[in-house]
Amino acid sequence: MDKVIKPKTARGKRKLLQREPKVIEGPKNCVFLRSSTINQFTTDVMKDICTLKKPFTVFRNKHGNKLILPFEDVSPVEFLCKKYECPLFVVGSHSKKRANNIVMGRTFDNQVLDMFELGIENYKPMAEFKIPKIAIGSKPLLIFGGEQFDEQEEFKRFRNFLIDFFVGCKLDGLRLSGVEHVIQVVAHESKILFRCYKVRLSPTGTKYSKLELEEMGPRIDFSLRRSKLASDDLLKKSLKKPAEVRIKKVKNIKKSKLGTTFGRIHMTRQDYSGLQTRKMKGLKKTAATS
Amino acid sequence: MAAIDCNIGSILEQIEEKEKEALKSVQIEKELVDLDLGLCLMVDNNPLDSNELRSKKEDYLLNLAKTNGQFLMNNLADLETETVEGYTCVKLPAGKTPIPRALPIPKPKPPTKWETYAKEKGIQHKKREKLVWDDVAKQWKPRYGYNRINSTKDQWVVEVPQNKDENTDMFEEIQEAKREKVAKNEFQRLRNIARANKIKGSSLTPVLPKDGKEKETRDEVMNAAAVARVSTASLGKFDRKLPNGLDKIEAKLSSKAAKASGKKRKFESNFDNIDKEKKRYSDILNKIDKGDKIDGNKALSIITQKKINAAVKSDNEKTKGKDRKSKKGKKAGKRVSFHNRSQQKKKQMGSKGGFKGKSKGGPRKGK
Repeated sequence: MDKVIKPKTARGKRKLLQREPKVIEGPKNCVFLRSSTINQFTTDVMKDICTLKKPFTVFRNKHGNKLILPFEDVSPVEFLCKKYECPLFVVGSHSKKRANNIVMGRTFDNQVLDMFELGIENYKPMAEFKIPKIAIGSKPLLIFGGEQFDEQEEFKRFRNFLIDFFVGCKLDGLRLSGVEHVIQVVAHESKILFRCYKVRLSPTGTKYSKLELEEMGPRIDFSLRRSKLASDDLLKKSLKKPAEVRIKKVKNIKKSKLGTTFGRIHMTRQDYSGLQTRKMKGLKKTAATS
Repeated sequence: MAAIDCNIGSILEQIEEKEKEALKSVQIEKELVDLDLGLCLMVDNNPLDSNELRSKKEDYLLNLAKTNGQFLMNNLADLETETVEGYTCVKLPAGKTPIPRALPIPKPKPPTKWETYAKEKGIQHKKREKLVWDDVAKQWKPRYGYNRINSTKDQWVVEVPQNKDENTDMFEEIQEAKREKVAKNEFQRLRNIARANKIKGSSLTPVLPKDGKEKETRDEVMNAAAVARVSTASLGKFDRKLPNGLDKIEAKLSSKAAKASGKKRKFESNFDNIDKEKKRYSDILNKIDKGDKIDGNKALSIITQKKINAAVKSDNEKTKGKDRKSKKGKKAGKRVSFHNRSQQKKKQMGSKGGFKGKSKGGPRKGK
């Protein structure tokens, strides 16, 4: 049975109202959790990912002695995701069996939807690339490559997850000169190569500008370990769009390329009986006919 | 003139050539590519060059990013532009890639009993002014809330009506009346919630695992056991029964399980004794002969009575289940399940002798 929480203060009430589901949702926040067994290496990786995701992040620095293993027990993760209002999570841990391990995942309705366990094979931190950093919250260009992303269901879902993770705010307009970085993810030989490049645009005199890239880090090679994919049922539920957002097809209205609107009207059959044709003497109504 | 013309022509040509060159360095043609410009996303479905990726990994990846990024940027630049706060922006279309929501779509708030009634009768909400003129205090006062008009706090003397004992404390009576009102309001609120959350269909509530902090109640364990019992292929027909000492529990469990399993059709044997069959048919014929008609009103009343009984029963079961919990003396914390809360309220009311059932209690009986 769902608990009915009755707020005691007006502030609490507002907070609860804020947490309620909305028709149009904002960007997804991500909580970064450190299991008690984490090492510095994995922490660094997490921090770099956090930098890319900022400002929609909560980095939980205190790790205490809490062992968080999402694939064994998902409840602490779900609890913390709910607490920090973050539908995305990243959990870092390190053990002999699963060295340098991070688990990335997302929740729907405060329950885990998908999660992916990644092993870090190769890592060059952001700090080692001596170039100026990007502004916080800038929109990345996302590029995916590799056939594996289309062949395997796990990879396919992981690609969707990464899009979900890095896409940030929904924008109506974008200033192209403000694009600052490119995130490229390539799947090759069951490894996931994660690269970030800083963008420099030079004008060409046309509306297209030339794109020059320089690696800014982090450079990470992941291997996909375990994964938990959402059932089709749950995924379908989570993908459902509210009626307010769904675009209704407007019937019988078209727009030409010049922007003129054309409408098609359907009418009932015309009444010809009252139609005035050409008047002729011979066809004149006589008293006998009328 | 001719010379100038020539000059302009050549200049234009030069410019054109320059543009062409510039475009050449920028323009990229690619196939097998999925673009989602709304999300600034590109999915390259072209096969990778494995050899080069192995030998010169970083260079290859950088080149790949360069060409793909340029392609994506060009496509973004092709979009319609608009000026926002002095900057030229491209208008992004809506994203195509399906991205799951974080929370489910909000459901419309279930109407309260009053709201449904008002809608049925066409009663519309009239907006009243917040401030009213107080003739006694000669000032505007709020209709309700702090420092409101006709506040009981302002009353320093209250007349004792003739039908009451002259020693009654009228201030206490007023307080009591107010308490009753508040309790009634709370009760109705809870009842509205209960109505909104009513689970139809199966008599068994779904069994959900708990997070380990809370213990399952006796009823919940019973429900879980009943569901488990009928969750076999044979609907629990061949399951082992509980040992002999637990007859009472067994009876309850099996009755619950029977309810959960649904009805099974039963057919009579084809080779039964003929007399029984004969009698059944003759009974039917007799009935027709008599001209016994079905009384529609009576049938309807029977059906509705049955439904009411079922509702009362299910409600009673729920309150019984929660009773045990409240006996333990668990204090009402910040989070209280509404059934629990209603119980506590009722207890309070009982001790104070307030709320003597002015509202229809409905199927909820305190005992």
